[in-house]
Amino acid sequence: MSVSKWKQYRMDRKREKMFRNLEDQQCEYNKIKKSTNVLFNAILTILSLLSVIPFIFVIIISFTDEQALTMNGYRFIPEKWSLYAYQYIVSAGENILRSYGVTILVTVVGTVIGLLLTGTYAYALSRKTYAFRSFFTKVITVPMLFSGGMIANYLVMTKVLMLKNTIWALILPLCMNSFNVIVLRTFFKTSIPDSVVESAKIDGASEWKLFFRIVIPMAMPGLATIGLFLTLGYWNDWFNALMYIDNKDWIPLQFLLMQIQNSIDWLASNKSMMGVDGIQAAANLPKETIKMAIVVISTLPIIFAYPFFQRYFVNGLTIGAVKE
Amino acid sequence: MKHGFMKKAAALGTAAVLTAGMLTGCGNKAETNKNGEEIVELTWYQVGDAQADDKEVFEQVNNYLADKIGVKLNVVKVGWGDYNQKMQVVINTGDQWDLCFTCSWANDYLQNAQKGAFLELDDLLQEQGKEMYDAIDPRFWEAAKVGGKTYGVPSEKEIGSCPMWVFTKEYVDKYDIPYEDIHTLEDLEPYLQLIQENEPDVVPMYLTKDYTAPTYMDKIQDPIGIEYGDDTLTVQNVFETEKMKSTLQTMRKYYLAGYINKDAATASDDKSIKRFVTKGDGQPYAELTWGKDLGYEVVASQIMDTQITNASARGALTAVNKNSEHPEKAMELLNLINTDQELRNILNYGIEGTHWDKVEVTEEEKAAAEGKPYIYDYKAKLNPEKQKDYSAPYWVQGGLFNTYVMDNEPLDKWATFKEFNDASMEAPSFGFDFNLEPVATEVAGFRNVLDEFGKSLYTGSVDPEEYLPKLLDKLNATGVDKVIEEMQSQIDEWKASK
Repeated sequence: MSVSKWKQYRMDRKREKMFRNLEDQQCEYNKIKKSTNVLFNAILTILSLLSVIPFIFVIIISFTDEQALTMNGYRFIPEKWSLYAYQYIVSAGENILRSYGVTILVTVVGTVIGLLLTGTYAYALSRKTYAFRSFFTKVITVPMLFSGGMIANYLVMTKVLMLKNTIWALILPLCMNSFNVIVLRTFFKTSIPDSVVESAKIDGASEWKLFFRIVIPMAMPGLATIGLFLTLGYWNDWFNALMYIDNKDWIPLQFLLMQIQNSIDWLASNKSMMGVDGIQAAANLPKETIKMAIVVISTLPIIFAYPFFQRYFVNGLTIGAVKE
Repeated sequence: MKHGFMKKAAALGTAAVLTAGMLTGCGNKAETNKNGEEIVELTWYQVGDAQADDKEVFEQVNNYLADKIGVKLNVVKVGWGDYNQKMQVVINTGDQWDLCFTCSWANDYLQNAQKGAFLELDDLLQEQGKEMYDAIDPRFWEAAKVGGKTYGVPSEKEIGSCPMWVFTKEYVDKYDIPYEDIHTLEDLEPYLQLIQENEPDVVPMYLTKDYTAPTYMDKIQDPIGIEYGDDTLTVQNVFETEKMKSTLQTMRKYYLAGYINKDAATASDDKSIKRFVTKGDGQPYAELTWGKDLGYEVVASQIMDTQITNASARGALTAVNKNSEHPEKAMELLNLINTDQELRNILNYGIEGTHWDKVEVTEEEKAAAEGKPYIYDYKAKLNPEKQKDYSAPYWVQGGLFNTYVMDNEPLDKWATFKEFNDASMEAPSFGFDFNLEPVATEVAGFRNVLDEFGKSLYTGSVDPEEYLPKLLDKLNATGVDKVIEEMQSQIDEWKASK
């Protein structure tokens, strides 16, 4: 009796141990080795530092005293701190603040119009019942592959549409993008089941109501993605301003910054041709610290825009689990 | 029903178009000045960044111009870095413009003149522009000619290119260096050594990526051209000339000796680096500008005699659009700017009493400058508060010699410029324009080769024994011989016709 009990006990222990080992082994499979973990963390830390440090550096330079900058060059801990650059922007930089306003206006209006146009176009293309679907798909794909080029664009914008020196010259060229339409069309196609559309119609929804009350809320993650693309596109755009805006009152911030940087680079590389004239011209341009301060104020809002859109990206992962 | 709607829409559309037409018709109703003359608007593209007070200044300019010649200006300022691209679009699309800034280094004068974008001005210059034509140095007009025709009005300033050694005054004083006697690259050597031995934290010769070693040649099409003083007009590749070969050897020697900063081929000017000597392209009183830029005093000495080349004499011009509706008015305007002191100074410095004030010149100073040209009764004192709201590159708008000098400058500044211009020598190739069309493909390849080797050779960063042959091989491969041949035949033709 005791022998068999003992045997039983031994067998239980053995089995237990085996299972435990098995469990341990399974855990091992999912776990990474401690050394690898440290290595990966180090690599990721370095990578993120590489992208964060330059920006921190920009912020530090914007708070550095201009004199100290010319004397010592860039430093992480400057000899003398100064708020001069920001004071300059607030007090003397009317054009900088104005450009800031232009950028914000263009971005907000442009994103709204862009989302509306892209959304409606893409939605129409996504509905199988739409008669001219293949024709309009072609209409939107062709410009993705071919473009008329700079001169043709300029002629259409200035001579046909008469948009030179208007705020629309900054908004309209960017609001429709073939790529965005196609992304969104695919998104509508996969995330809005036909049955939902059908049932809404049976319940008596008109096409507009269907689009605004059913489709848009369901497609929020997709729209947010396109919205972010548009926002970034508008916020960073300077080329349209270069082409179509001569009036300095309607210059967006990025173009202002671009202009300063372009001028500095160009004057530096043409030094031997321009001689003293070039140095005089360069002396009239904003100084390094002011440049950096403009970078800081132009980047901050867009940094804050990211987390807002992020919410929808996370939602986007969970949506689409439709049971048919 | 549908038809009715279409009809209505069509009617509405027509009505809208008509009203719009009427509205614009009203808007175009001509303004007139007090003499009853119609005021025409001229659009003028200029290089240089827009200024905060542009609107106020041009309002005053326009008031003045309206009464004087019946012109209203619409000046469009385009940033330095964007000017080339912008003007290409504006010119090629036949956009509405009347005047534009052009020169040898931006919005290329030669190319635009050759392709017919600019108006021939010769007749107008004898009519509306006569006064100005007589006032400006004839050599500027000579340089402005392309194929025998004038396409631009030059801004009178320094005419020649004048490379200089720029020394930091602190060290010149400390070691009592006879900087005025230093001219060639070889002259520098003992002083570079001296500085290296005694001033460990000073770079004896500070060079940046835009540096070119002293070149005794008019590079008509980099790297080929005609050597200064070569009256036989033989086209050569600069890298095959004895002078350049020995210059590159010397640069290499200096580099190996540690006189030159190690990052010279890639560096851009870092003002925090203490240097003894660097190279600059100068003009009279250039030391003042350099000194202000660096924050300490400098002195300079000329590397070689000032040479006038097409590129240097085409430093700044204003051209008129071939399709301008008011070419006579445009010429009248240019003439007025180059001859009218009051207008010129508003354009230059802004509104008197706001951006600057007139300062009367002392009698002594006036007496000292007695008999010299371009002497005025006033100097301009910039208002330190408001000055930054209006600072324009002076030579973009017109000649410099009818502007007031600034209160910290000598009264005879422009007279000195004039002397400087008179003393400048014409390079043998002065007046010759290379038509590069027959060899455009070959020339397009030069840039890459020069970018690859030029900077490192010029700064002595690589051994010329090894890299110069490599450079020459690559240039030969892109067809440098063909270009030399073509240029030689063109220049022979030009010489024969002269």
